[in-house]
Formats: sequence, structure tokens, C-alpha cells
Amino acid sequence: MTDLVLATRVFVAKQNLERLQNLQDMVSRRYERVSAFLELPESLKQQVSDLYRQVLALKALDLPDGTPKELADGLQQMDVDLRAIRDDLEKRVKRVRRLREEFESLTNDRQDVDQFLVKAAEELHRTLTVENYWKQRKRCDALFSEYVDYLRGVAIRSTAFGDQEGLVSDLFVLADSLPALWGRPGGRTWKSLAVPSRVEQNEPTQASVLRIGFPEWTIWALPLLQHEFAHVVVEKNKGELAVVSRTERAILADALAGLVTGPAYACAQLLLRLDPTAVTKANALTALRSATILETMRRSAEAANDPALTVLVTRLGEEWSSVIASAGGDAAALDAARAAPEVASQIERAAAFLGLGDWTAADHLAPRWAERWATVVEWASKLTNGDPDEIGSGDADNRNGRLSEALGLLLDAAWLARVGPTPGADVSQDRLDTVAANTVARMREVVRASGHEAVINAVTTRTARS
Amino acid sequence: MADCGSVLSDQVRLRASATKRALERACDAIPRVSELDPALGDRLVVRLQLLVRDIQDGLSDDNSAEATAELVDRGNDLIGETLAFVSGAAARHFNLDEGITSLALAWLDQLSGAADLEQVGVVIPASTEFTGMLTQVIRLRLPIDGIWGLPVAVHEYGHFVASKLVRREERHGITRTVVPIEELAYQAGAEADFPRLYWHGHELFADALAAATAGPAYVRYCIHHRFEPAAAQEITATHPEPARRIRIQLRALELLATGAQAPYIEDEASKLDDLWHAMAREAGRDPEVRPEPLLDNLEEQLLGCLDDYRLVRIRYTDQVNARVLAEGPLDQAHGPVTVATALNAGWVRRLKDAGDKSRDDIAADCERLIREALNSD
Repeated sequence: MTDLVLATRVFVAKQNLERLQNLQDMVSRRYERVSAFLELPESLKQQVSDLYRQVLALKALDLPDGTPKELADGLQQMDVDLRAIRDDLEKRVKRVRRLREEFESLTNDRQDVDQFLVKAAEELHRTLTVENYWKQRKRCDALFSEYVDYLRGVAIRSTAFGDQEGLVSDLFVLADSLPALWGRPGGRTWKSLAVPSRVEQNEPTQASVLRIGFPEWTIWALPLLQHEFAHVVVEKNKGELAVVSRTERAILADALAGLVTGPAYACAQLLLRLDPTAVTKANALTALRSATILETMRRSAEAANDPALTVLVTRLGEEWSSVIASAGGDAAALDAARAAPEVASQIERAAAFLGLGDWTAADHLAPRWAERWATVVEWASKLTNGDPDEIGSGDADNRNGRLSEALGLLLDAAWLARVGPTPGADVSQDRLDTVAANTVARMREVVRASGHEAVINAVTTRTARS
Repeated sequence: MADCGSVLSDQVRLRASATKRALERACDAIPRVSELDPALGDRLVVRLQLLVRDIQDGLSDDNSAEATAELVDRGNDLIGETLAFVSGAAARHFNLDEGITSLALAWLDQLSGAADLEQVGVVIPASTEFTGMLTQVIRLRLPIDGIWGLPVAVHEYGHFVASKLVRREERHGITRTVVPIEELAYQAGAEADFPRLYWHGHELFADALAAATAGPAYVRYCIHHRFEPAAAQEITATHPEPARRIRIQLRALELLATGAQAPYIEDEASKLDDLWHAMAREAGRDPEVRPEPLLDNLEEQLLGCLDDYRLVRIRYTDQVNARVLAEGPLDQAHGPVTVATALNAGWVRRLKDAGDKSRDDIAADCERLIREALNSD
């Protein structure tokens, strides 16, 4: 007998791992093919501008008497036509520029691909043998799964399909930027790729590809991604954030995501995702998770001493309790979970990890979004009232903090516009799409303006100088 | 024995003659105010001279003794206001007010513009607060406490508004012009044969208007700087007890608790109420308002007057923006703000900083914002 089966499987696995190592090149090649095509509008615009200048120069000449009128008329017509073509090309150039940005966001400096997927594949390729194949098989499968997810994500994202709330691809660009809200968790900077998926992973992944679960490919579900990222953070900081169980990992992730994101996270989890019927004494996980989220919000509002935030957080707690009762869950299980010591301790660990000080002591810091809740209130009103252009995300951040903060504040503002502090203040259903579209547009601007780290650093330096 | 009537008549003539002479001197002195303070001079000299001449012309020998006595009283009031005006101009000239009355005047002009109401004459520093109804000169008491005391100008403006806010009213098929706030205060006083109610009504309306226009910044100033908790129940001939004044201010704040700023205003009102109660109790005084049905009823009606559409236009609606400004140090704040927003942002920052930055530094930042707000017109 030979080890035919094993040798074949190892061979195939290694071949796939090699393919995986070339992932970045493969994606880049795809865009190289369209790159020349994408440059067309810019070069055409340049040529038309040259022609236009020549026509203007001709028009400026003093034509001698007796010059046929048709010549002057012809020049005038060319002037008008060329200007129209130039304006049209200008619009196309802008569209193409945006498309290029999206392509670049998929290909350039992909830390998730470079550092994790490719490196993990290299390492596995080097160490995989017939002797350890059965042990490593799960790791191989996980890597292949992420590889497929990544490719699928790139494919779906680059189709730039859309719906009423704007391009879904916009959402994924924004999703890529959300890790910036975390600053440098555990001293690491982070770039990651968010990809569409059927469900979120809710577990740490090899390459840290973040999945956005369908059907919630909307701005409202975007905060859910923070839970995924929180898992990545926990995984990458095992020393400081050691966990002993899946439940503990989940509630720590909720505390981290809540502290980093704010009520947008609580709203997304409680209103879109968590199952109120699952809040029972028998099923501790959902009770503990929702309790952690609510307690994180309550304690943040308390730390920031912001009455408007407190009103919203109180409402969320009441709404969640009420739906648990009406859906057949056990509201008392939620109350018990909110008082559970493990909930408090995970929130305190998360706060300490995020540099908010000792939350067991009286004097500690509030999360930035809580400190800036008035800005959120102001922006929510502008998103609702159709004045999104008046949102001075750049100005506010130059003065008060990092530019990337504006992304989180906008998410909170969108949710605050949707879920007011009181039921009467909720935005009407027919305005929801407008609020969502306004939010996406403003967040895209922030992402574009920030260019991420480069601009954020520049802003931080400027603020420090002033 | 001399005829009593002729002595009285003689006395009136003598007083009229003295008043006339004093008014003549006032008439000579008033234009010289422009040398001290051209801005004041430009605004008020002509008006004052017209008032003086009006009274001088009235003080002729043809008038009855009764009419002359009334004119003499008006003349004396005018002389008093002129004296205050001249000394106020001197105080401004020597910058005793640190420029605060100029800010106050510009602010009140903005409010008048927004509410479509007549402008006040001028705002000057003085030894006591007062609004002269003849000259329409508002006096602010020195020391003014810098920008923190600025909302007091709106309180004084409230007295002015009370006498200037008119509306057309139809009763029994006849349309007439009424001055509702004056009438309410007057009727409350007259019915009870108790003029104190008139003055107290005026004060309460001025307090309510200041709180509704300047927002919590006015109430904060009254509690932190102005009102003496030990005098919480002290009633004077012209002023109701501070406990009552705080109550109407807080009730005016309640009117502002709408829309997005509602939680912030409600929270501020609740904290201010708690603070006042604690301070009064610590001073061994009862912080609660003792029932006084006539005044309680008047208070209710005066609050209703704040719903006049012109006063609604100048109502404070910007506490969210004030909080936004106060999220960072005010020296880095900018953007379109109102004076009331800047003042309230200053208070939020002052309470938040609690020792990190001095009150004077915050006041300086705040003053810069206020100047920006006043120059943006």
C-alpha cells in the first residue's frame, strides 16, 4: 500500500495554497486590464481642452474684412460644441476617478491579504506534510474558505451594483474604513476588506476578512461589522484580552464594539439582529450579549454625563425589554443579566483595553462618541431635515479629534435620526432612505477626504500644534 | 396767614423754574457726551434733546398747577436719566465696563431686529440696574462680572419690551392697541390696590424673557453670581423674592425644552433647581415659593406672554450647538453662533473644565465668540 490518498490530498492542498499566495497578483491583474480603459476619459479631456484652446485663440484673432461669415459662425459653433464635450468628459472623469478609488481600495495595501491570508498560506505550504495533513486540514479549509470569500467579495464589490439607498459597493468601502474607528488596538494599525456574505462570521478568522451578512447590506447594518472586528481584536490581543469561553468572547466583543461605536452598534444589534425570543434563563448567551450592549451604553452615557444620550439609552433598554416580553422571551432574564458581574467585568476590561481608564473607579473617561453626543444630535437633525451638506465633519474634527471619528459619529447620527430619544421623534418610514443616502454620501466624503492614515495623521499633528 | 393755594402754586412755579434751568444745562451738556463716547452721542443726543425741549416747552405759565407738577416730575426723571447717561458715558470712556455695555447694546439691537421691535436707546454702566422709560437707556450695574453678566442686559431689555410690545385687539367691535404686559401688571396691581404687584410683575416678566432668550446662561448667572440664597424669601417694594424669580426663570426654560435640545434643557433646569434648593437650604432658608394667589396668577399670565410671535422669534433654541461648541476648548471653536449660544457654551465649558482652565480664560474665549456673533450681521 502507498499513501496515495494522502499524497494526492497534500498535493492538491499545496497547489491551492500556491494559488492563494498569488491572490493579490491575480486581483491586481484583473484591474491592470481595465486600467488603460479607465484612463481614456482623462486623456480625451486633455485633447479636447487643447482643441478648445486653439479655437479660442482663433476666435481672438482680428479677422480681415471680407472673411466669410460662415468661418466666424463655424468657430462659434466649435466653441460651444467643444465646451459641451469637455464638460461631459469632466463628469465622466469624476465617475472614473471614483471607480479607480474603489478598485484601488480592493487592491492596494491590503494588510488582510498580505499579512494574514498570504503569509498564512506560505507558512502552511512550507509546513504541510503527509504526516500532519489530517491535523492541518481544518486550517487549510478555513484558509480556502476565506480565499473564496475574498474573491467573491472582490467580484461582487467591483460590479458596483446598487439599490435605492445608493451603491452597495459604497457600503463596502465604508465598511473597509470602520476599523479606523479603533485607532491602534493593541498597538496595531489595521486595514481590512469587508466582503458580502450570507451571514457574519462572528468568530476570529485567519485573514481577518470581515463579512457583512445579507440581507442587511445597508448603512443600518454596518455597525454589526464592529462585532466581527472586535473578535479579530480579541484574537490578536490574547494576552490582554484572554477569554475562557465562547460566551465570554462574545460579550467582550460586544463591549468593545459598543465602546468604539456607540448606540449605532446597540441599535443594529438590538433592532436588527439579536433574537428577543432567545433571551431566556436557559439560553444565557443572548441575554448576556444584549445586557452587555445595554450596560455598555448606560455606563458610557453616565461617564459622559450627557442627558440626551441617557434618554436614548433608556429608551433602547425599555424597547428591548418590551419586545422580549411580547415575543415570548424572559425579560427577567435580561434584568438578571444586566446585573451579572461577568457583564460588568467584560465592560471594564474592554474600557481599560481601549484606554478609557479604570471603569471600576469613579473617575474615568467616556468614549469619544459619548463625549461628542451633542454633535451626533446636531448631525442627526441635519440628516433628517435634508441639510447634510451643513455637516462640518472636517471642521468639527480638526477642532475636536481625529477625522476618522466622524465616521462613527455619522453612523450614530443616522441611527439617532431613525430611532429618536422618544417614539414621537422617530423618523418616518418614508424618510429612512433619504437619511441612509445622506449618511452614505457624507461618510464617503469623510473617507475620501481622509485618505485614511495620511490625512488623519496630518489632522492630528495640526490639532496638536494648535 | 398766607393763602395755602397760592403757596402751593408758588412752589410749583419755583420747582418748574429750577427744572427748566437744570434742563437747559442738560441740553448744553448732552451734546458733549459725543466727545466722551461718539457711539453713545450718535445714538441718543438728538432723542434726549427732543425730550428736554418737549418738557421745557410744556413748562409754560399757561398750564394748570397740576399739569405743571406732572411735567416737573417728568423733567426731574429726565434730569436723573441724563445724569446717569452722562456718567455712564464717562464710565464707558474710561472703560470701567471693559466694553461689556457695548456688547450688550449690540446684542439687544440684534434681538430687536429679530423680533421686529424698537431698539433701546443705549446701554451704559451705572451703580444700579435700571431701564429708563423716558430715554430708553438701559443701565447695567458695575461690576458687571464680564460676559457672564451679559444676560442681565436681556433682563433689563425685558422691562423695555414690556412697555413696547403692543398688539391690536378687538373688543366689543372696537379695535384698539394694547400693551399686554403693562396692562396685566397694572391690572393685577390696581385690583388689589397694591402697586407692588405691578413692579413685581415687571420683574417677573423680565426674568422670564431673559431666561427664554438667553437660555440657561441667565439662570446660571443669577444662581452662581447674583442671587443671595440667604435672601431667598426677601421681598422688596420693587422686587419679588429670589425664590419666586428662580421659579419663573425655570418655568421659562421649560418652554425651551422642545425638539433635539429638550433633554439638555430639562437636565439643565433640573440641575439648576437642585442647586438653588441646596444653596438656600444651606443658608437656612426655605427655597420653596410661598403661595400668593394674585402674584401666582399674574406669573402664569406673564409666562403666556412669552408666546407672542415676536418673542418666540428670539427664543433660545441652540443648546445642542452650545454643547457642540463646548465639546472642545472654546479657543478653537468657530462657526456661526449667536450670543446666547456662545454664553451657554461658555457655561457648559466652565462647569466641565472645573479648574483645568480659569473662568477668566473661558470668559475670554467666550467673548471672542460673542464678538464674532455680533460682527456677523
